[in-house]
Amino acid sequence: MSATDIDRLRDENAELRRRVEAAEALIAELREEALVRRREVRSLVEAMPAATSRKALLRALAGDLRGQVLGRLRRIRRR
Amino acid sequence: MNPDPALTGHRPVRVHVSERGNAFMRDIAEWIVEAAALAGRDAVLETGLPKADGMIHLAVAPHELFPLSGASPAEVDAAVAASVLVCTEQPGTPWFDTTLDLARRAAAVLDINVVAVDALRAAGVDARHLQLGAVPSMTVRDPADATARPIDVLFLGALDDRRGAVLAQLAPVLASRIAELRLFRFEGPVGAHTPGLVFGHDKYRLLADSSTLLNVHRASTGSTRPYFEWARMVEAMANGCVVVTEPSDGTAPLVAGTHFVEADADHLGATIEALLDDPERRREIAAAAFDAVTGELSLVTAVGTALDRLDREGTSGRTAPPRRQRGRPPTDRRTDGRSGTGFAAFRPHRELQVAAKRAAIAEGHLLRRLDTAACLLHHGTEQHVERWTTPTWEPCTPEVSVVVSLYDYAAVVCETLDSIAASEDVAFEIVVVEDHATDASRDVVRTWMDAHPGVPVLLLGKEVNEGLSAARNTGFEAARAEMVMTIDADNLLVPRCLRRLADALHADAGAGAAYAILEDFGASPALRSALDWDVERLCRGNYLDAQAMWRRTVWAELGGYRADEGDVYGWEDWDLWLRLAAHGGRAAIVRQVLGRYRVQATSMVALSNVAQDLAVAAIRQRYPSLPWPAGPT
Repeated sequence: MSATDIDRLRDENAELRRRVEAAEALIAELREEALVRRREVRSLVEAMPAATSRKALLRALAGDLRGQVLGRLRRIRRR
Repeated sequence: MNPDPALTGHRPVRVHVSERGNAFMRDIAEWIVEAAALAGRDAVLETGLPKADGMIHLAVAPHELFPLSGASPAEVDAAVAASVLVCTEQPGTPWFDTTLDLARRAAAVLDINVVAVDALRAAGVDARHLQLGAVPSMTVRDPADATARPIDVLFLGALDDRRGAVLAQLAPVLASRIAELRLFRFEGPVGAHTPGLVFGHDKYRLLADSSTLLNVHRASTGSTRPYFEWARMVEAMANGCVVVTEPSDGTAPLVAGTHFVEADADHLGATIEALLDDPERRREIAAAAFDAVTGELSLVTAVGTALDRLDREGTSGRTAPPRRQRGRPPTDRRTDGRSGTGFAAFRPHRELQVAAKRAAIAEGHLLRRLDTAACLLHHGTEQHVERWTTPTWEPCTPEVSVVVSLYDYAAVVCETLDSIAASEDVAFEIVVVEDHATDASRDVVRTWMDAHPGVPVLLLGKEVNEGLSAARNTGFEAARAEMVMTIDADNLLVPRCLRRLADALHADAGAGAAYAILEDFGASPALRSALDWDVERLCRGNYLDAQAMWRRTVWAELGGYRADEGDVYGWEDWDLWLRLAAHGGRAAIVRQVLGRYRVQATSMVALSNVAQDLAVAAIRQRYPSLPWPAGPT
């Protein structure tokens, strides 16, 4: 193998190494992002109310309705 | 030969107990029959309903006998009116409420605990106390027999949150002694079919083999006074087993310090330790208690006196004006298995949750593909596993391999390794599978290995994170012993764990795996993996942790853990236990606290619990031959 071929292969090798390192850096960056996103998605999933009793739901609805009615009444009185 | 009523003037006695109820009630009924017979009565055990025929009909555990009879309301009314109830239930429980309703309509009422007598009287029922004591058939061991008792501490009882918490607090003591925790859950009548429970002679034998019996109160039910479980205590005392109890009401005429030992929950551990280290004191208390329950408190005397009184006063009158509960007939939640309102919980945003869970899992997949790409670039393969060993790993011939799955537990993994390294009387190796953690887990373990060259350790470091199931499978494949213990890198073993579980597998060739009770730590104390192997229970939900010892051949035959990433995500342990059951296998329990489970605020469990009905449905489809509870598939 000639010295020129060796230089060419060495250059090719360096270029491939540079590409691999660039790809690895990008993968590492994507991995970090993916880890952060996975944590976020998991915390969102886990924060959702899984189940509630109908009694609690009706109580919440009644409380909300009462607030709405009282608010309307206050606005009517102010007019 | 039964005594002739015409000659004795005594009315015959029929002792009724439900054949569908809890088996320990039958034990009580049998004691009463035995005591009545020894008191010179014609006494017979029956399982049907009492009737008004001039005999004395004692209805033991009426909250079970009548509701479970299947009779019409009119038939039950007639039977209750002809009965002398022998009540057994603790005030503040639904079973006591059922008892109270029946007591208001009964001919007469007896109760085995003065606390309950007081509560019945406060409710207007003319209840009397039936002092429980021993009958001769209870004692299976001569109290003077000084041979060693193999069990230091025995607990027999239903598991609830409070008992779980107190027993977990006692774990250090229980782990350092020979403890036997016979736990069950009240979800239906318990009997000989209930795994782990013993009755009659088998129970007396167990008590005779135990130095101490621990009594821990159930969860508080409002104003309930601390209750002394008289039946269990008498059985223990009749067999020379010393009762150690939390302070209780209604213990008289027994005296704390003389007939039993009393300590509050915070001091139970120290009290048990002191008692176990003082055989002379144990002998004194056991002897005094035995003399009391077989002498002064003999059930023969109490039953004879009660029956004499019933003969004199008759059993035709009601104890109080009838005041029947409205609505459906009284039932026993311990026996009918129903609870709550009957409505399924309302699940808002369910579709959104399912979609979000799948998105979270998809994120994990994406991460893995990135790892794979990096691995291909680095090593030219989709996975690369780096190996490190301590100098003692290669020459070691382990009896047990301990597979530690490790992902992001750099802060606690050394504690886990320390606990395994402290194992006693067993040749073991540790196989740590580091699943490409995002923290310094791998370096931390390598440093630990450098500091512990005498501990045989193999560390496998994966370049691609593959998840918990795949990590465990990698560990099993690398394990050299036939018995393989699985443990997560944040949990702990007690020094005798490996020896005890290995012994359990050696002793039980039919068991594919063995597990012990675990103590929760890090949050509220509790117990897990505390109940015996029970396939029906397993089908209702996973009550067994993955921390267990497997036969490697059984694990291989089953195909190992399934690396599910779909709806079954996070339920892989349960899937493997169910597969074991579906293949006709089983696991053996060692009823001792031999491990510690770290409860953390956030964990994979939380995500796996989201939309778990889909996971359950998917798993049910895999194992159709198992005894699944009725319901949607």
